[in-house]
Amino acid sequence: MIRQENVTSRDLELLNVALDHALTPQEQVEFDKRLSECPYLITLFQQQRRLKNVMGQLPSCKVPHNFTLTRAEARKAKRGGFLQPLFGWASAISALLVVVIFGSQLIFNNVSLTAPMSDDSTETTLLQEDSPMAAMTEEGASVKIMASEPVYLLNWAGGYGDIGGKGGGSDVYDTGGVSINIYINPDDFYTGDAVAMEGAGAGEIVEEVPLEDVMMTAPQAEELPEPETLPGATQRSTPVPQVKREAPRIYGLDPEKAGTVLKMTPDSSPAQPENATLEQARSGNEANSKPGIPIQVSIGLLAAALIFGLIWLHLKVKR
Amino acid sequence: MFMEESLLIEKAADGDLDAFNQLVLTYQELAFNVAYRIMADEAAAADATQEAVISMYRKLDAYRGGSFKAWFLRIVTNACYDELRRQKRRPTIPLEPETDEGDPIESPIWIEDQSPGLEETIMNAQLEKAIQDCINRLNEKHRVVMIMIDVSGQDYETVAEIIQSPLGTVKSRLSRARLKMQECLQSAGELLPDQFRLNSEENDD
Repeated sequence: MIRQENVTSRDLELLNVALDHALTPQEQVEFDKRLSECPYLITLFQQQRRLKNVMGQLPSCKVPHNFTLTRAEARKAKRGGFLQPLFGWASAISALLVVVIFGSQLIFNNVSLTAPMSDDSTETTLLQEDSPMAAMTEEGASVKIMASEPVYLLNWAGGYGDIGGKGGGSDVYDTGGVSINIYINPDDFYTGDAVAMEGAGAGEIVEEVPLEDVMMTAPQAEELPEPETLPGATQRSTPVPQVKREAPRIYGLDPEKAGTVLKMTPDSSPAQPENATLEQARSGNEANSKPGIPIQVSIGLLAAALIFGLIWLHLKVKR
Repeated sequence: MFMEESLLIEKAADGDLDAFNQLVLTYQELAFNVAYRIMADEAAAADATQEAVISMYRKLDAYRGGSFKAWFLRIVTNACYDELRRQKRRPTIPLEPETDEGDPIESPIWIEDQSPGLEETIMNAQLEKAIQDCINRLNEKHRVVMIMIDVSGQDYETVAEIIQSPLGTVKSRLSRARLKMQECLQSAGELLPDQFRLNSEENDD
């Protein structure tokens, strides 16, 4: 309606200022000129002036009561004002920590499953390649593959009874405390069991295979030529009947050399007492079995975030 | 005993509750009336005003000079906004008195009022109700500016400080609010007495 009457926004602006008696002399001249040009603007001005008067005449209400504060209300106001933001921040921080912990664990778990080997394992590979094992023949290739992965054959915490192979995996990356890696020295290979070694996969645990069965499936072991590339191996090789009743063994490993520590990472003093080493290894294994932050902490933080949030909400609603 | 406002503010900020209450007494009527016009409900306006007073007590340390009235009215309008949002989330049904037939009595006050100027009271009540209804139809921003300037009589600068917006914004909002109010009251004009009709002169044409 107003636009149809050719009233501009400038006219409306001047009209409003005129209603509040705040026009400058220059604006007053401009407004008077517009009033003379546009009769509708005069009508609008009169209506707006009447409206302003009516609005100004609205009766003011008496306050129902004084809004002053008593000492108790003032104390409560200060206390409530302190608690609500406190719980709000506590809730927010707890929730943030939970997100960070869960997020980081999720990320690191995924990375550890897919990432290449760590520096330690790389070093291990290089060391193995430098060793005579790198020159092994096809039969030894499987051992090389096995050795190219971080393999530890002996778990000190379990003693000799725990001798066994373990394929490389994520457990090796997370060695936190003392980690003892025992590497296979090619001199110690029990080459007389070459056939049996073929059957054994990398890192395969063979404890469950009865020795009698092994002997039955490898009758031609003695007929195999002595590997010339591994001098001395045959000298230390033990005849099969002699190890018949011994504890479970690892194919390819000279039983007499089982448990011989060739290298330890990190390098520890050989003078370290055996008990201390066992303790360290045990504690290291325990550390490996636990995540970086216990799940109880995460759950506790989550519960705290929820509780603080509820208290904050309660204070806000109560307010 | 008259104490200068700045001195009262300083004492109140230092924890003097009496000085604070003195400030409250100075501005409570203005605050309540602004809240009443925004909320259109006496109880809700009282709640909002009380909340604003408590909030002012908490935030008094944050007062950094300028117009104390504008600062307090800003807290009042914010309390009203909060209360309006709360009402939108949890709408309530007013407990209006009803007739024997079950029809709601819209203006129970004038029934109680048995003074000789009954007709005038009725007209004024109708006018006030029509105006308040039109105010309620304005959006919150326009409503606050219009109430501050046209009802409470604040100047542009104070309102600009209250709503923390430039002067031009105040003027433009006021202009739109007045036009909407005019249209709204014109549509309800038939219900108003002739002397209160905005377009009575137009009708004569």
